[in-house]
Amino acid sequence: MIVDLSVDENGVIRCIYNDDLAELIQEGQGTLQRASHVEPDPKRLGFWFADLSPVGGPVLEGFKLRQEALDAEVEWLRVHYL
Amino acid sequence: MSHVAAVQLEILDLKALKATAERLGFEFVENKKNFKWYGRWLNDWRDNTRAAALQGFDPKTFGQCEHAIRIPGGDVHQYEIGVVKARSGNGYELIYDAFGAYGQKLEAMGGQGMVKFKQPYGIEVAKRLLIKKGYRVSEIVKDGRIRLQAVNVRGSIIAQEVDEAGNVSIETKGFSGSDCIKETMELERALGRKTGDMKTVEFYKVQSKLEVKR
Repeated sequence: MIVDLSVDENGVIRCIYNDDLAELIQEGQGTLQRASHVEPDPKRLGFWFADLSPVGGPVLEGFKLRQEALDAEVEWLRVHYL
Repeated sequence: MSHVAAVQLEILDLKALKATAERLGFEFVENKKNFKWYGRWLNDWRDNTRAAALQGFDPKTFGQCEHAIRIPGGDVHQYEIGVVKARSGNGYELIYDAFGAYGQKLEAMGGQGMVKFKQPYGIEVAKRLLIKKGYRVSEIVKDGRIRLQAVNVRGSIIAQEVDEAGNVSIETKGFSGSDCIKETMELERALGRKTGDMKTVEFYKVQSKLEVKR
């Protein structure tokens, strides 16, 4: 399992939630929120999309497998959110 | 489907604070109950954001602390940073005298309001937690942010052997119960057909615990 987090110059820690980080999050003040919705695409049967609008991100679509959408979501968060 | 967190930590972990102070070039003096400052409150500083007296600290307590942070090898009169109990009642805050050359020297190392403590303190707390949870942690600095990448090393593949016929054997160590099977599954798929496996003692230890619970 890989955990990836960042700390900016003001000490704000950003992370993709993982139960191993629960204690860390409980030691501070801030926000914990849903990052995306990964759903079947109603326009293309069997395809999946990741809607990152909860964190101001794009809708990533056209994934043939649900796991591909989940992986793309995490990769987007690693690059743009952390 | 992930969740994300953005969190600013309060100072709760003194070991992490000590490591942070040392990282910035200070010395952490545990249980030193006073810190050096000008010594008399003159009520002559009106900066709403920085003056401690205007932020709820009682000037009568200036100079008192739980622990102190100082510049190693400094002038005998050099001001110090006090680690005081937080006004919220939870954890600690840092307080210091910003007056004159001695105050400026503290701010040169710790930043105005000791802001330079914030980032390394966050890193130290996160690193300590992840190491405690069994992760191997590496630090990457990029665009003013520090990234921590951590890989769980609770278990690992300790040996792979290939015999003359091309058969591969994989040995694992440190996994609990069937975790080793999950971890080696991908490698097995890439290598080809599995011909057998021999469970280690660690595998059976956890299995027997489960049976007792039933």
